[in-house]
Amino acid sequence: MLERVLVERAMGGDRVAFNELASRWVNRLYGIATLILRDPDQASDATQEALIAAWRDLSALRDADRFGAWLNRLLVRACHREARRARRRRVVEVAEAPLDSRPGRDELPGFLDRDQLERGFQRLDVDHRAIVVLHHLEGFSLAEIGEVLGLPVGTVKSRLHRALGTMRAALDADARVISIDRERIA
Amino acid sequence: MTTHDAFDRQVVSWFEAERPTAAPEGLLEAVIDRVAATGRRRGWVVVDRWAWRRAAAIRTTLSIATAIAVLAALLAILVVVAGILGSPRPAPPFGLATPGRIAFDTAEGIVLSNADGSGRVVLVAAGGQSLSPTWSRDGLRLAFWNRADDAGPWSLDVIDADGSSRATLVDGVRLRVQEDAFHQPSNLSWSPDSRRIAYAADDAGGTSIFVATLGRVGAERLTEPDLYAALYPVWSPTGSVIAFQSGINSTLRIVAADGSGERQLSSLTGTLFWPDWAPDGSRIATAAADENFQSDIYVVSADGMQVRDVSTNPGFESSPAWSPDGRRLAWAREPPSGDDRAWIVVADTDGGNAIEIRVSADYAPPVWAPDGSRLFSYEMAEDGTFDAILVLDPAGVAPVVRLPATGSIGNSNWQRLP
Repeated sequence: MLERVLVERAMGGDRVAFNELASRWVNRLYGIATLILRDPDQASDATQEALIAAWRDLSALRDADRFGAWLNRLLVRACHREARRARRRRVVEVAEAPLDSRPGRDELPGFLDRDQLERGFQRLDVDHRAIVVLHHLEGFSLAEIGEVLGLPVGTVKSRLHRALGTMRAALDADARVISIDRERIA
Repeated sequence: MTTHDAFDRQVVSWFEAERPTAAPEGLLEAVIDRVAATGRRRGWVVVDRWAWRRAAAIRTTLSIATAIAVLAALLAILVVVAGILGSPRPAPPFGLATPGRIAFDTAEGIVLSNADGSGRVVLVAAGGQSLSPTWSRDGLRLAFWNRADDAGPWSLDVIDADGSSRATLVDGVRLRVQEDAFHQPSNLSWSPDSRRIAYAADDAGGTSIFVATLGRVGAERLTEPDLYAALYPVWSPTGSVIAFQSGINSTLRIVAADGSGERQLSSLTGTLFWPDWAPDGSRIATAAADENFQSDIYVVSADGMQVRDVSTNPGFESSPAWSPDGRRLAWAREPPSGDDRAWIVVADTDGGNAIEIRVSADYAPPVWAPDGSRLFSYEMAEDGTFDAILVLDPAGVAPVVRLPATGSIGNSNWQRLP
């Protein structure tokens, strides 16, 4: 069934229709929240809160075609709340990663680049992370992101530029450190 | 999606790798349950703020920056091909380097693997026992212990990283005190020039430190036989001295590479297991236990004049390992209680900013990746061998990677590449 039809029915109070919408969006929202918050439990809570808020406030949505953008707006708000509630843990308990068991592959692991991207990304606040994720992964235009976050296009553009610059600087800085140390050893 | 340069593609690739494919089990059900119990807010007539139109144009313009990126990529490919076709280049012996493959022993034999589990190959197939694979500092060779059956003396063998040119340097080696306790003979320590290997072995009723040299058969004894076991030789990054543990009081000692000038390095007693030199050779870290077998981590200056206790935990701690940039130390710590055998601590070299990584690891020395981005420990099996290598993020952020290593004895390490 077309999403628009489901949204209109849900706007009219149809819980079954809304539950179908939730099942269609939950994976995507969870993926975005995980990238923004970098914590699966917080992402799970933010996703749940966003969907409940969507059900509760659906009457405020005037155009069913804008449901996706509106839902992303609720998700980013929920991520803000989760980020404020989060506390840094000094003792870390790590999860196990899946193993890459492809035979014959003899590439060196890119842990360093991924770690540097992670560390650069962690320097960003929730809004900047959301902008990068919505733009680079979800394919939103600057205008669409502006509507999601309630910001002018120019502000979105400058924040995106700043966010990518911060991540790029993290990569460059670590590369310079390694380069300098190798020169000392040689 | 519009991507303008290689960095954008890198970010996208990273997002796609990091994004979970599905929400956790039960999340959707929880939402449905709450929707059933949640009322609706009254809708207000407001000016619609959500009116917009998705942009339709996608511009693709081959910019100058893109052209430069393409040319740089082509040049990088040419360099890589030249490197592949040419002879292998040695890595710098200490400090930061590119991580190669992890070498470890298993029931299959000596295995090489990338840290993410890819590229796994059996370099030396099991035929008897082949243990303690140790990369040369230049990353070009592996040294290991070998014997034809489960008993009897060992031979010290070396083999090139591609599995060719296997040679026996020394035969008939025993180290019963290590074999009894750890199912293997001595650790192997390469000199900085990757030409010599130090090890401990039984000798005339005691144990001595020996040095074998590539291209020669046999070994040179550096120290007089110690009735109380001289153990754990570790070559200094300067190449001039070898530190080891020795004597009735288990002290830290050093001897020059030519066997001269053996002396006790510091007043520290009760030293345990492997000491480890800082990459610049200015200090050495070791564990030392008191009479109650409570052990701390100590950092000793190369002249032995300064000794500092850098661990503050009241429990048992051992096996310090310097990060390749010399800025951090990792070591094993006994948990206060519970089922875990040991946790891994990562801290500044004065013990500050310590992070405790609570995975069920082992007391064997953690091994750092040559770029400092990871380190690994071991997961112990019921029979006292290890059944996995645990690759950890020293910041405790990334998930642990578990490499199967059934039957491993330990003493594995990470190849250094240029």
